[in-house]
Amino acid sequence: MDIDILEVTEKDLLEVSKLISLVFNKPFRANNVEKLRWMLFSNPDADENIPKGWILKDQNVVVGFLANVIRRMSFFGQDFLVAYTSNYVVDQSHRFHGLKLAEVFMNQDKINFLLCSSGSDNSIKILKRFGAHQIMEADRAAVFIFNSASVMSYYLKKKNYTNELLNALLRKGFGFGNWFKRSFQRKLVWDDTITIKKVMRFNDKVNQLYEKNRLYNKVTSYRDSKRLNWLFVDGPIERSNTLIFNAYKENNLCGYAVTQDRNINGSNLKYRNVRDIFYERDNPLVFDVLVKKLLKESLEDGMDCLEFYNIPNDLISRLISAGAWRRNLSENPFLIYSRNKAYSNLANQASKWYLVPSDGDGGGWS
Amino acid sequence: MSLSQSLSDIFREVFNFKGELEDDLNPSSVPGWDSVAHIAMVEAIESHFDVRFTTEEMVEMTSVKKIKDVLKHYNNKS
Repeated sequence: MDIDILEVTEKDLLEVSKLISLVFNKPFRANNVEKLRWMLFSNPDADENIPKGWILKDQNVVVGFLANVIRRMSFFGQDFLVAYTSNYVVDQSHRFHGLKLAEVFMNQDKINFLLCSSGSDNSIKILKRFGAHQIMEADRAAVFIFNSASVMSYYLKKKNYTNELLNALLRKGFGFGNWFKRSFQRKLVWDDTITIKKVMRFNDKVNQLYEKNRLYNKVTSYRDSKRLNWLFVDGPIERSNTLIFNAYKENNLCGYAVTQDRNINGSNLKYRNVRDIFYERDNPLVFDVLVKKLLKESLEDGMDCLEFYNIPNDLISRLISAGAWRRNLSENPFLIYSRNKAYSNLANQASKWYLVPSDGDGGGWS
Repeated sequence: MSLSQSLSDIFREVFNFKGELEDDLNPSSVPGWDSVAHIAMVEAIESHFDVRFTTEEMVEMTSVKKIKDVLKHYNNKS
């Protein structure tokens, strides 16, 4: 069998989308082509010298694909280029050739760290073969519940009821929505000198906020207006109702939060995700004020829950002390690899870091 | 232990395959020989014979005969 491995181009995306539909046994949707185009060819962090991904071709038919999503990150103040796998799919009859896709991804020499977030055991085992190792066993999500009956019903349908959250709900019983509402109002502090405004887009003030505060975070993805607008505002409308909340102190931007509502197939659950939250780390009240505002807004919008995920453990703890429940994300394991030996030691410590970006890429690409 | 006997043990361990190890056995004729089990099989063979296959070889190893051919290649090198 003569199989070619080629860099993906924009004109391959239609065939790639069809392959993804076929492999996952889902109906083909034309907007998936646009989603891929946005993710790979509009990405402001992409580098023209780095492939956007690779395809496998058998007699001119696309039989495999792996996306290579580039982003800039800062680890302890040092800048790195990171590549994420995404949409790793191979036609059943060419499944062993999928190893070649993994190999080319893992052997990139212009990338400092290679990352894979995957719910698929197959891709995890294949990437481990090429040196990746798993990180992030820790919980990363905290969820405020406004309507425990709806959330309970959703998790029971998913048959995912062994986690701490559901056990807690079971202990508390159904219909305690008011109890939850009261409990989270207490411990968050409101500061009248901080004002919150809803905005439609990010502007370059956010770049200054990030530059001033990046060293407070051990690991962050770059925040700049171009990237944030690309990620949250200008992308395909999959997660509806994007809301951006800017926090100001003395007219200076001191933090922001982005939320999007998740449409969950087969469920009426009104589920709001906090996709990113970033603030001046020497002013923790900004976080409290932003969270209070998000809670208020979510309640007014009739949400059943508000979830924060992939944020540092100290912030998760803060949310839990304010009445949120911890949710286990271990079903979405993360792998890391660096070819550069100098970085390998850093990679080996990754589980101690907040490597997973807080703006939701871990669960947002696929 | 012969090459065939060693592979037979590995197939039993990885795929729970208890039949005769014919040369033409392939992923279609061995239940459970998917891409993940393929990696487990490759790593079991590597461990047993103290070799390290290239990706190209791993892709090639899609029948008992092809596995033997790849292993013979290593045998000739040593």
